[in-house]
Amino acid sequence: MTGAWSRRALPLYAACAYLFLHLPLAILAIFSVNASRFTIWDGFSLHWYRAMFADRDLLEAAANSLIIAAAATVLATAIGTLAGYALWKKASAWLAGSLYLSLVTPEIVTGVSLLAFFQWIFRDLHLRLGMHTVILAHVSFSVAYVVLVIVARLRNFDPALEEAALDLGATEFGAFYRVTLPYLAPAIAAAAMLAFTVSIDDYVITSLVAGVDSRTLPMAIYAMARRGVNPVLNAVSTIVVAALGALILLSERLRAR
Amino acid sequence: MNRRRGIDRLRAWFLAPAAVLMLATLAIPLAIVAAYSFLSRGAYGGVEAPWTQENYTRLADPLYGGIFLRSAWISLIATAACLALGFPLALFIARSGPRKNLYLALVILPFWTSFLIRLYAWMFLLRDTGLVNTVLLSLGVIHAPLALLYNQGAVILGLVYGYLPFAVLPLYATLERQDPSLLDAAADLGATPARALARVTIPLAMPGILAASVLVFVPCVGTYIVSDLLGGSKTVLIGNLVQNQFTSSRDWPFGAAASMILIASAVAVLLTQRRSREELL
Amino acid sequence: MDPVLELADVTKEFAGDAARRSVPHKAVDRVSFTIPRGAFFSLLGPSGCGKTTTLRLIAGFESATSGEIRLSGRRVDHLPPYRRNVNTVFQSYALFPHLTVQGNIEFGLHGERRNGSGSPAERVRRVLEQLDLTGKESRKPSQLSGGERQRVALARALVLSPDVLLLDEPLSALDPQLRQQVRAELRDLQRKTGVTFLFVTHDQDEALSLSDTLAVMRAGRIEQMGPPAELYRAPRTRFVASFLGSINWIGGAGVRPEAIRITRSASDRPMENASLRSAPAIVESAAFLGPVAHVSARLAEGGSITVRVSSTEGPYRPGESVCLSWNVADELRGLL
Repeated sequence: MTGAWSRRALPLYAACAYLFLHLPLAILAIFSVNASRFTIWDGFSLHWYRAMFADRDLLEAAANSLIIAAAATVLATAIGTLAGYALWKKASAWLAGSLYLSLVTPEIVTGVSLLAFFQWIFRDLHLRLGMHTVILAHVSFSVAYVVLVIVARLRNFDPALEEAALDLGATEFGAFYRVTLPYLAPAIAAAAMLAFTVSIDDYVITSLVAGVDSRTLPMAIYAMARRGVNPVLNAVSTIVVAALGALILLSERLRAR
Repeated sequence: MNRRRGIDRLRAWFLAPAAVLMLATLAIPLAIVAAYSFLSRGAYGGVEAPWTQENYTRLADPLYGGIFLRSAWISLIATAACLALGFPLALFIARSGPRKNLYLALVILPFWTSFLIRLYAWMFLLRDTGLVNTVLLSLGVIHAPLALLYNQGAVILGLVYGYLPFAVLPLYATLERQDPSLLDAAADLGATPARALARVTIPLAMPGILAASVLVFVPCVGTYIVSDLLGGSKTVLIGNLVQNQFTSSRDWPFGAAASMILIASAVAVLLTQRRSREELL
Repeated sequence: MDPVLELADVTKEFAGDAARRSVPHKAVDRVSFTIPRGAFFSLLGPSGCGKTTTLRLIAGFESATSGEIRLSGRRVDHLPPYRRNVNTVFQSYALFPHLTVQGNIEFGLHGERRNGSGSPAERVRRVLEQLDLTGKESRKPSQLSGGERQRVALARALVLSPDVLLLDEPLSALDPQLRQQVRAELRDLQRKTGVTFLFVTHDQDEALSLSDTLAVMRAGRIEQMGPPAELYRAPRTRFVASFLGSINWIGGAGVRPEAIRITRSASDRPMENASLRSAPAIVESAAFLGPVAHVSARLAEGGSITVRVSSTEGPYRPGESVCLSWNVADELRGLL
């Protein structure tokens, strides 16, 4: 079925493609332990990591990011799980359409529209941009990802199981709570990890709706990247990529179960 | 009839939070942007009456036409590159047998870990003092650093690097679903593997190819950070224009009008990609 | 008679669905029947005849468009499934994968249905014994065989002491060898527990061998209802005649293959008289099936007849001239 061409050329190409995808990050990791601040290897050193942990502003930005991601994840996962289940029971073109729209709308548009929205309602409410606006924005764009994961998992769920539960005396909510929810548990965990990842990494939307006191890690990274050479950034990048990578691996494992 | 009532009530409660959220954070904000695009610039930023079409006529100005053309052109090249590079990779994964999930994970993994950091990695490589230049200089291949960064080429590279997995996933999904016995039949009828690829595999994969192109094109057209980090001041795309108008230039109505172009393309995707949407949701 | 389940003129109409390309149709059309307590009642028919929909109407998963459903005298058609005293054994068994056998069986005892006597633990223990599942309580469904899974599905339903047990093609998921054995076990179980069984199937062997009363359904209507033997020997419509066993149509009358005798040479031709019919035919084919053979022969005036003969009588070769004969008393006439 597969000719010699596809047996040799294709895997070779794939190897190159994977190299293309992973090499840049691997290089960052390698240079994060380079003693020199230039792109010449000067020996192994961890002092960029030490410098990273000594940077107060950076740590504060990281803490903000974690708080925001945690809050947004909890909310987005709860809202998304319930919505995904309801959509599976009976489709709703409007909700499905708006969730899909939230996925395909460019981030800059989402960001400015939320900025305009917040400014408009805050005028009368005497509120300002801050952690709460960022969290709300993050919940908004994460919910669609959660719904995707939940709906995908429900596709393999036998509806007869819920009917059996009803038949045996459970109410509609009882059937959901006692039969469907246990089945969804790994998917909910996977969706939460996905939402967390998406939230931690967001720059565009966050930068537009964050207040002065809610600087996040991506905002700090962005500023560092624009400013020029900064080897601490290599260290930050390596840790973030490693942590998120592990999270995503775990999430995929749970989804596959 | 009691049965229907019980289900409907539960469903309404479960949908409510998401519906309210989408209404408040998607529908209303987008409506506000649409409204602002017809208003005038306020004295201290923000908006005020009168209602006007000026923002849209201003968009038609050749000064901004260049921005739209550039965005479309760059996105087209990036999309084409993603398809060309992504299709063979998707083909490889689909035909890789038992290790499919591993290879798929290797594509998904970089995609979900910080988009921002992945772009920074290319900055690290392509800068004047970046790794590529340092290596080439030390090898004596060049005598002055190449200007690899802060141009359109770097933006395209960044877009392809960023969105390649976005193309691979739907392509893989389509290819994986193809019946392998079709290729057996083609071989049986005398087609070489190349011919079978061109006349069976690719035509059958067309819906997936279209879906992948749309899924890559739209974020490319609306990109902001790729052009901001890798493109320098020379590469102003629609996303940069919008960001600029809403922050430093403080011309929200004009920025809103530019945003409407992007919103229109997103809505176009929503309406035309019905099947892929139903597959997902 | 103590009627436990009564359906009166029940109709279920489905609206058309453009997306799924279905037209509005009546899946169940004015169906009425009564089942006495303790009976084994079967609904038999081809796929799409409405038997599963009828089952779902009784269980409460669908609402009837019109008509009444009564359980032990009380009207139930407005009640949700969890308030009706019926239980279903699903075709796929629908065992909860995250619960053990014990958990599955106990499930209904924590819900809205509180009837029956004894503590939950006692009731579970009793039903485990009845279905020969003691010792397997802590296994998960994935660790059970097909037959064991079916018994758990039965146990889970029976522990709630339902008025009627609904079984949706419960044997179709089993291996053919297992089917005969399980069939007998089901019959024993029904007799031992005395629970009323409503059994839905498309397999006529199952329906004929298990039921006290059998109803043949077609296009949403009940064509005939009664004891199996009566339906077989005195079918009222052509459909029922051909659905239960096979039948030949000769000159407007139906004759079962086993009622036709076949003889070889013309000289052996039996004399035709008032109670005997005969016809010459040419053998088309003969299928050897072990103890019997099905011989297909073409009549002089056209039409193919299938005859069942004991295989010791054969073999009959294609092209042979034979003579077919049967008793007039075995003819089925006047069928709709």
